[in-house]
Amino acid sequence: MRILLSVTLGILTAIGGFLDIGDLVAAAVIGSRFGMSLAWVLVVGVTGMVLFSEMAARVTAISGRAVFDLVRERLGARAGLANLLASYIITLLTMSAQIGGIALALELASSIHYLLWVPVAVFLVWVVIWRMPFGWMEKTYGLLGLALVVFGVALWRLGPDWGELMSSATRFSPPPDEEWSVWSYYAIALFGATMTPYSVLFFSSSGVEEKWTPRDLVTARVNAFVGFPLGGLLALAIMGCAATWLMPADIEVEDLGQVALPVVAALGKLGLVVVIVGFFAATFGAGLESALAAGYSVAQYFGWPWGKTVVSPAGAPYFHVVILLSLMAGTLFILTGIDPIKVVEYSIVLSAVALPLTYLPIFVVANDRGYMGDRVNSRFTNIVGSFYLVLLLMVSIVAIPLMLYTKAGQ
Amino acid sequence: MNASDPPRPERSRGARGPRPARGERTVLAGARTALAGILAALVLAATACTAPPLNADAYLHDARQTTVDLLSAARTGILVAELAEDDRAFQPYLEVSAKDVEESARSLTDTFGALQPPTPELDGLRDELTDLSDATVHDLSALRIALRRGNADGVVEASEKLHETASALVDLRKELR
Repeated sequence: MRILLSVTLGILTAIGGFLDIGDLVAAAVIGSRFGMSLAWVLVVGVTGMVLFSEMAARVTAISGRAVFDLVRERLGARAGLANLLASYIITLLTMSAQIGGIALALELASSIHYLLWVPVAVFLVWVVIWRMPFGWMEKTYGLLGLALVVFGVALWRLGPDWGELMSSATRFSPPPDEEWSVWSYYAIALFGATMTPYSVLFFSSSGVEEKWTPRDLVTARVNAFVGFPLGGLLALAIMGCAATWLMPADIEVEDLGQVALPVVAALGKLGLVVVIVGFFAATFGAGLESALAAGYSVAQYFGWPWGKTVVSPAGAPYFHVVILLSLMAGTLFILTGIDPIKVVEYSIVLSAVALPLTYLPIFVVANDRGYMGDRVNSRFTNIVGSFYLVLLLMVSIVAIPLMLYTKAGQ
Repeated sequence: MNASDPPRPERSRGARGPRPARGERTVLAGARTALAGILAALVLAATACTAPPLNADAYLHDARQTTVDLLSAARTGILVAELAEDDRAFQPYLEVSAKDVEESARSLTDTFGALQPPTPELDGLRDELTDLSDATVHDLSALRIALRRGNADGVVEASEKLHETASALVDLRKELR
């Protein structure tokens, strides 16, 4: 019974913690502009996320070490440094976007300008990282993030033409008045939003925080194989709401308020309250994860003590300093007044560029018998993983040229 | 920990490894390339990587995009007004939503207004679209002000004007296709 409760809680936490500001915005933008024609990207992205998260979980459970810690050792200091720099820059940008998202959610609830909320949001993130126990932190934002199920309820209440939605989802081509280049650009953006590097960095390091052993592998796999796809369903619901309500009204999503419009239209004030709670939980949780991921990656590369639970704060000073400096840098960046939604859009495309750097090392380590013993990847995993690596490389190569050619999707 | 599990190696702290093998040098080269790409993209993104249109096709494309974006802002304003009339949302959300689309429309107006029409034949399009963008901004401002003041009649009036502006934008969009 206890195990069942633990697994259920893990799945619910994985569902609620799956989405961040990138997923929220990308799904809504794409649904409002292209309908469900890019739903297949979510399926591909979630499958990849499950595959590599399972690898990362297995590496952590068997070796007792986080993936990034092993990457430097396995690939060498220089390759590890290049990996670190790319991952850290993207994670910092993503974290800035999450901070902006937290502030935007608070603005929607209060009408106080989001820039005034930014310092508050960062302070809250830092206090939670500093003081709240790791397990409590994960479960709180994960369970609160389940509020985003409201998009599924709203979609049902909006009464869409399900046949038309399915038809749009299986079309695999842009709507008649959209260009293939722009459609492809947004496919890459959605893919980058689904497979964000910081997620795997955090997932792996959290396994060390929670002292995973091989016995915990079952729970971790259930969380990945069940929780993440169900979280992906939430993203599909957001896309469906935008496709059903915003696209026919010629509304293209550009801000967080528009993302919530279908929910408010369907469910009124109660829906609005729930969706804002969901926005806050998703962005706050992702802010915590990305801030921790920034600290994990730097501390693991340099071999500094790290972690919230493994060592006391005084025992990991450099780790906490990196987190604090990263939060300050992200805060200053958002306080320049740059549109947080634009930061989100650029961060998810740049995430797509960095994907091979994150996932190839995981693949290499997961196949290393020196660390994994007989728990290396199966042949099936290696075949699928190799396919994904080729896909990630192709996405990485075309992301920036497409961004330039389409003027970032215009 | 099971006996069949491999012994966990000690954590090394910044120890130097041997020279990377060929496959690892490939990873390193790929990592450098990707890092350069990311940095280049950040620089380009920082400069907004846009340029004024150089020819009539590019100008028409920008006009078409501006029309679509203005229509989106106007329609959002209409939806927000309907939510206010039906009392289906709280005041802060309505005010913020109206403010955001007004700012978006204002930015579109400024951006398109700064573009140089490449030929005199396109001056008429510029005038028409400029008038519509000004009207959109004006109507959205009126909506924002009415919402903030709790002026229900003002919200209705702003919504009606936005309907008219949206219709005109739809017609212009059809012409530009």
